[in-house]
Amino acid sequence: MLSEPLINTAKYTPVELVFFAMGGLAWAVAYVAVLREIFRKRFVEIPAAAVVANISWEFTWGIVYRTDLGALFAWGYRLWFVLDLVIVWGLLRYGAESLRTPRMREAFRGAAVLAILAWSVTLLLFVGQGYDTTTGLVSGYAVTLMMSVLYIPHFLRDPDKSRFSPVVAWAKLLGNGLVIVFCALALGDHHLLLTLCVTALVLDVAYLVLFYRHRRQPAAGA
Amino acid sequence: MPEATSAWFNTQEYSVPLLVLFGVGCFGWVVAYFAVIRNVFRSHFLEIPAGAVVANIAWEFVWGFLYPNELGRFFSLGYRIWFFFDLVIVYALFRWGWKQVDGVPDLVRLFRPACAFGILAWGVAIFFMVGEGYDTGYGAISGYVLNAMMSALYVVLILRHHRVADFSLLVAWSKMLGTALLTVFNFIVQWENPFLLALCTATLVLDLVYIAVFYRLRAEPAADAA
Repeated sequence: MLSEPLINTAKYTPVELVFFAMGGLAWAVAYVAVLREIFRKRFVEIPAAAVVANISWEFTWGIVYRTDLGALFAWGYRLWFVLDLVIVWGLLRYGAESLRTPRMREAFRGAAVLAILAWSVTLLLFVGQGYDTTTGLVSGYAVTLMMSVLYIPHFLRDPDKSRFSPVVAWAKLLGNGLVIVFCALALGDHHLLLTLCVTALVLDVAYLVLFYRHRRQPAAGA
Repeated sequence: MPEATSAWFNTQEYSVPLLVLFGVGCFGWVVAYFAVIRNVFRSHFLEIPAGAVVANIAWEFVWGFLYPNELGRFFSLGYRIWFFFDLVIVYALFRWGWKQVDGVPDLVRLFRPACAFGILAWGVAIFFMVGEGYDTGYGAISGYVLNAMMSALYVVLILRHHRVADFSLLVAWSKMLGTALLTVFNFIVQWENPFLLALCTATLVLDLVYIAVFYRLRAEPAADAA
């Protein structure tokens, strides 16, 4: 572990690492924007199911397993984890208020905690059995894809669309897009991963289109 | 890539009781599909969550037609029968599935193209998942990824929907029992694959939660009027 390089240029080219780093930074921007909205509006815009899966992935890959991209990236994953801890706090604190089905509010916190546990166990086993890449991207994109799918109904169901941030919409699209370039360059023969990437990207673009369509028509969702 | 077998039943690698267990588990799902189809033509409400329907048909196409089943050709045939049952469910999805998102006009408008996209995306993803060695020789890992998703979505859908009468108790029990028997099969055959067993356990827990929620909602006096 002591000999781990800051960035692993032995396995990855500088171009690949730059794309991954920029993508990771864009995701950090998205998380900070989500956090700002949590404190301003008491609203978590990331769908609950995606939040619980995300924190589990970051725990798995930030704390238990270690990416082979280099120490800088390992700490980046941990930074995501720390930011996401605050988002999870926001989810447990305010998440139930966004639900319009009273029956779902009752069990919300318990279900969220159990889901984090279930996702963590599943992801730890998935990685432990060697299914993932050494950067965690198969499990990462499975989780990201789920988030990209859920964002659309989550946004369209919400009567107050002004609560959703354009910074998040752009930053998560850019984050995914840049990491996808990394995947295409470094893991181009991994067709399952590329399928997950492309599907997530299409959905992120679809979300952005829907987002701006609703901003142009402020009364449409009311 | 799964190994092809010319036998109808692969009794060289799987004992007869195990194959019977798997077959009975699959039959539980046939009962569930029958009940779903009967109900959708009666009530015009499709109770299987749309996200699960699109993934299911893709799985059945990939495993029924594109890859061999190491349990034997009989089971490949069974997967194809599921596929044709599921085609009827997909028809119902495109016809009446939008009622699952009723009340959100934007989602209703997007519903059919989103379902078509979902089938395509799942089909390609499962095809590569199997081809790149992520699955067992009879599709258990990809199958249980879908199953866990379906079980989670079922709980959300019944809680969100305002009419419990649109959901079938027979489906609730038969899918839980079908899954439970296949879970027992996996615990015996795939005991060295804890990832799969975690998916099996999570699915079973969610199926039991769904049944509990179902009975609780049915017992509420104003359940259908809420």
